[in-house]
Amino acid sequence: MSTPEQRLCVATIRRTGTVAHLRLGPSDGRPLGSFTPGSHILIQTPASVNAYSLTGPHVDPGAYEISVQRHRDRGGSAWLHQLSVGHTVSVSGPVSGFAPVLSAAHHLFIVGGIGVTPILSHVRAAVTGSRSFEVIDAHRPGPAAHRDELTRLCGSRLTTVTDRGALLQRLTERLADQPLGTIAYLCGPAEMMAAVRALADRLGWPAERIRSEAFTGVALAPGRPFRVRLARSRRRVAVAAGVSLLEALETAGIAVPHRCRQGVCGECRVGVLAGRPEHRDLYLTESERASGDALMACVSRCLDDELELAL
Amino acid sequence: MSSPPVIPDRVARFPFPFPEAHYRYSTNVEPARTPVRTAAGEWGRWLIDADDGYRDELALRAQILAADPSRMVSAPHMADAAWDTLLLCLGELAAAHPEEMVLHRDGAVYRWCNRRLDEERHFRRGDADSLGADPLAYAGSQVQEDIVLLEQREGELWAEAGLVTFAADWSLAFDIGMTFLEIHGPVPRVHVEGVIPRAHAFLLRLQPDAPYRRTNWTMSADPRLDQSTETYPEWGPARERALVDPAAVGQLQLRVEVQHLIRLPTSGAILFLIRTHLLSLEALMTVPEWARRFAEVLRELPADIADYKGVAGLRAPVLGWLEHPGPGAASRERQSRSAARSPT
Amino acid sequence: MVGVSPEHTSVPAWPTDPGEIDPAGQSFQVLGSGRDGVRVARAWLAQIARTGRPVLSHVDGHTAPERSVAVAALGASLARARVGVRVMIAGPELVALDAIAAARAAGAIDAELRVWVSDRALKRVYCPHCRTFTVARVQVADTFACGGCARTLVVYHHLSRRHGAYLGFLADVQADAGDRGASG
Repeated sequence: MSTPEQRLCVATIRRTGTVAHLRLGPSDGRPLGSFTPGSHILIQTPASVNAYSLTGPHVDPGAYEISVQRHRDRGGSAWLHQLSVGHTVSVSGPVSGFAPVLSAAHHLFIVGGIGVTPILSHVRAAVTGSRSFEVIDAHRPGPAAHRDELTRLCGSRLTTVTDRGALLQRLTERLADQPLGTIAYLCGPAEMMAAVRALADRLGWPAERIRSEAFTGVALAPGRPFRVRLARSRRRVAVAAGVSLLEALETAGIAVPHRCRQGVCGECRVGVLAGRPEHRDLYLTESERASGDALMACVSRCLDDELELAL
Repeated sequence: MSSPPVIPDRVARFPFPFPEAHYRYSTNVEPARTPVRTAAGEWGRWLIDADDGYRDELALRAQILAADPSRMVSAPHMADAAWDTLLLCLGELAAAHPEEMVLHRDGAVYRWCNRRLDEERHFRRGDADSLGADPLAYAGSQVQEDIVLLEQREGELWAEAGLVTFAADWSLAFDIGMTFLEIHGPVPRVHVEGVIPRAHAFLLRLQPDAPYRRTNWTMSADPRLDQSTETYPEWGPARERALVDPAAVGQLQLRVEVQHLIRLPTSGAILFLIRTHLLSLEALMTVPEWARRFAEVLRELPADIADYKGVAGLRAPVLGWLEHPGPGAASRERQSRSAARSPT
Repeated sequence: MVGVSPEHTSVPAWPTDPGEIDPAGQSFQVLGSGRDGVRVARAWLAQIARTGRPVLSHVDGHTAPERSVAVAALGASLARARVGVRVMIAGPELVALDAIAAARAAGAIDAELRVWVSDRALKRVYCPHCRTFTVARVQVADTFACGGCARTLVVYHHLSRRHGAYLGFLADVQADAGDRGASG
């Protein structure tokens, strides 16, 4: 599980409308790791752990660059918006879940609104690597984040549309005329992505040819806090959000055999006596999951407030 | 009073692969760079470690590649992954051997200095001319590990490039272009028990900052590293001889692979690094805990796994030898009889 | 082979039923080879005709040159194909494997391929010892003489779709060592 454990320092901050662009540099001078195009980082805010796409260069970056759209209902983005140069934040290493297909004959990027953020590193890598690509960009009329940069990078390979009808018309043309070996990459509002997928499906695109950004599903979400009751030792242990059950048990001095910490090896299986496990492992079979009498402590959590374990 | 026997470096660093008294295929992955204490010493502190076989094994690799260029496969779309591999390998070597090896970046220019090989290069990522070599070939000239690169697409992992000179009974030239699941098709039991599909699911979501490793083992008849399918006519007969000649049993090798599984940072490809360690049964006998444990494991090994690993026929002679080793003719005679009696 | 489940090896279990065409296909490329392969291809072509979608077909007779011309024609027309195409292949396994390799090399993925195999009589086998391919009338676990080095090879249940070939290896390593030992 990727957790925000690296301290980075806000080097610059600038704004486009309701979007803040932050450059986060190392606070100790150590170089930052390269990342795969389309990667994001997790940032700890007082309210939540949020995922943000890395918009800057991906090879030997001097800083991690992110763009934060301010949401009224999300405390995390408001908190990031009020930061200033010199503040430090807790950040995870880059998480890759939207990587380019190395052998694709052509790359078709379909962008909606702030969904441009993970596409920037893709486009930059395609330009440096002399890969064949095109971008279809949909955003509301007027200035939008990163569009100057996108235009500079893409030149004539960029088509911009500012309404839904124009987008669907352009997509219908372009999706019907892509060389065999093309991969399409989607990032934008959920409703737009669903519409594009439905259209691609009608035009005979197999699902394997379409990649979309999914912040969840690659790195495991931190999850809700819960408690465990240990039947044998009669102890109680609290498991905070972002902390695994295995880690919480270890901190409490309770040894559980383990190996991979990724939910694959099967070593940290623990019996469940009460409560419903939230299975997030790859080890248990469907019937074992359904019986609910065991879970893998390194990744799995609880659907209720409390689990009783055979420990 | 006699001082305790000195354990040779090669034995002290040997990744003895049997933490338990029985062996099954399992998704036995664990985080890389975790030191493991063994009865003879320690292994696993570093992801890549140049040991006392470093120069010899690299010279051997160069010789094998010159004789058979099909041991290396590169592909234009994997060039970025090859550069990732080179930089990762050099960085890990430098971390393990700071007194002899240095990787330094100044802007876009990397400087690599390897005093063990009297090498110094200045190069730019992506510029093979500046390196003076193909990045994959150069990586293979600096690390003892075999290299396989996999591309992730269509929900599968495809072996698209590699440099493999020390294979244990497989062929890179044949397997190139296959998926991870196709490559592992011939392994018995593992599908039924879900091991390979689990490993596959694990690899699909492996992240760049979290390298993992696993061990695998087999037995071979002599200390030859190149046991590729290509050269089977050369190494196959020695195995057959060990079945009938008890004097050859002590020279049988426990062959252990330490495999690292790494998501490369910029290309997003998966890198398999396979490092092969060999230890003769004679050397194994110098560590009594290992001899005892290996005998337990062999005795208990299910027939299909023994078959696939090619140890079915060796089991009886090896068990006999582990119980009664020694150079004497009498003990050899005894082994030979006990081997002949033991059921296989 | 002991303990190996055939359904998990790299050797495909080809569908026994040719099936219907994929209605999502925007265009079709159809290859039929041999008497049974051509029969299945014609049935597919009739289904496609009812959709009104464009189709290119590559049908051969029975000789090896005819087969390779059909496979080469498929590869060449796929180089101009657009996403949305479906590739339908019917014929002997050897031809089907070549057609799959050509389609994949042109950028097609498994989801865009439909394959029906009429028979598995002929196989291409790779000899890793001399690095040559031999086409032979063999089944998995049979032995035959390698066309490159004349060694007796056993056909292993390991198949490369990229090479369109099965893996072979030396059948009797002891006999080989004896033969070759004499000559040095």
